[in-house]
Amino acid sequence: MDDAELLEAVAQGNQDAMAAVFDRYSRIVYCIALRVLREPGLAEDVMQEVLLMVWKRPQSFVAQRGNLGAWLSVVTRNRAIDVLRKRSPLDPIDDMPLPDPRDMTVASEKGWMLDKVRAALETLPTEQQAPLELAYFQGLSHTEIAEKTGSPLGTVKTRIRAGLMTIRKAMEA
Amino acid sequence: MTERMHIAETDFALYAMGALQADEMAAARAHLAVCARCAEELRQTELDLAAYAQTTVQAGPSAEPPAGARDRFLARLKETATPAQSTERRTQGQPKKQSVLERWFSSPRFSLALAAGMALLLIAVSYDDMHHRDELIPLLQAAQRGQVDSAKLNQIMELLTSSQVQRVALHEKPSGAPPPEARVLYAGHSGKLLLTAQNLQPLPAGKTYELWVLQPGGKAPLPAGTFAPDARGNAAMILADEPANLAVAGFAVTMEKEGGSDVPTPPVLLSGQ
Repeated sequence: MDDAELLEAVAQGNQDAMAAVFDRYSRIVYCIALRVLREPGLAEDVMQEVLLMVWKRPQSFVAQRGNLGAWLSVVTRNRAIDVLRKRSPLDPIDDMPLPDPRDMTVASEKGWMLDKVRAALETLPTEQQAPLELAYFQGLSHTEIAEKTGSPLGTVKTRIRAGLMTIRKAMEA
Repeated sequence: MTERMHIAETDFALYAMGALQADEMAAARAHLAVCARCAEELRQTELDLAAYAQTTVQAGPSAEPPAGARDRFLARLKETATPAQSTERRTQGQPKKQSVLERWFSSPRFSLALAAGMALLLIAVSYDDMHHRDELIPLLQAAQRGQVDSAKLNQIMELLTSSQVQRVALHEKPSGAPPPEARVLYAGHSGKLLLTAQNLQPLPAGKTYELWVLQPGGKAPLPAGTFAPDARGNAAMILADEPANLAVAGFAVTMEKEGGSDVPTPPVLLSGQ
């Protein structure tokens, strides 16, 4: 059963379908939260909250034909950063845009696309990897990264952009 | 960046990660609401970031959700109604219960304290969204003080539990005129210089903007050309015969008399290093 079929069933209140969504995505959701929070208990809290949101609002995914795996990754990271900073969520969870042009779920199952991304990331120079890591998994602002790395603000922005463009090109290749 | 101007390409990832300053986030959000092109680029950026996240954590140390996490999740599912289930209950099995609630809310015996408690309970059960629930606390406290009547509480409850409502998020809109800004490209080896500027104020009669080359060591600034903005506040100037290999500490812009000056007249309107 693919994501769309699962979500249709979830929208009907099918708990088995939601359990299948949990089985498919809980590990990646948990790992992203853990990478940010470094605390298993907090990471599980975020995982439960994010996946429960799918149970409560499945129609938003069905209607927009969103990419569930990508959406969960984005929302999980943002929620974990909120917890890390002990702040209220910046955006309501259902206001997050759904990235949908390509199906990361299928790609993830095949593994080939992420392999290409991984290979591309390994080629990134450290000075490009570091700002991306600091912004994404530690939630630092560009000014905080500039101070931490001693790089000019514009350089920080350019390096983050360059890192992401490397990822995009790898997926499009 | 304004609603008219697109988001800088280096800002999309920072916006997606919440890594811009608060005023920059607000400006970007306002622009995204009216620009399909930037909204599409943001979606692409979110996808890039999702791939980055998945790849990075899969390449890192292996981790599984804690033992019992699945059982805990399934237990919460059983406690949490989906919108479909809530609607079904309302339309099929609950008219009698709803009318009891409505009678209870309109009853003369309905105490204010109980109203607030009941509203809290209903919101917690049927609208389990901490973000909005926190924002409702002042309203519920007002109910406890007797400042919100039961009919109003009933209306709020209906809105919160309905699947038919339209939800619209409102965000701060940047106010005031966007600040002027300029960029200079200077090729020291050839002496070529390009200035672009935007959001410039119109010039009074007999005045011009002038660009200055700031030199290190406290030397006097060198005049580098005059320019005037168009009706939209944009300006561009290219100079092909500037001195080559200048020691440049920065650039500045002032307003001068038409034809330009030999020394800059304060105040310095724009400067950068």
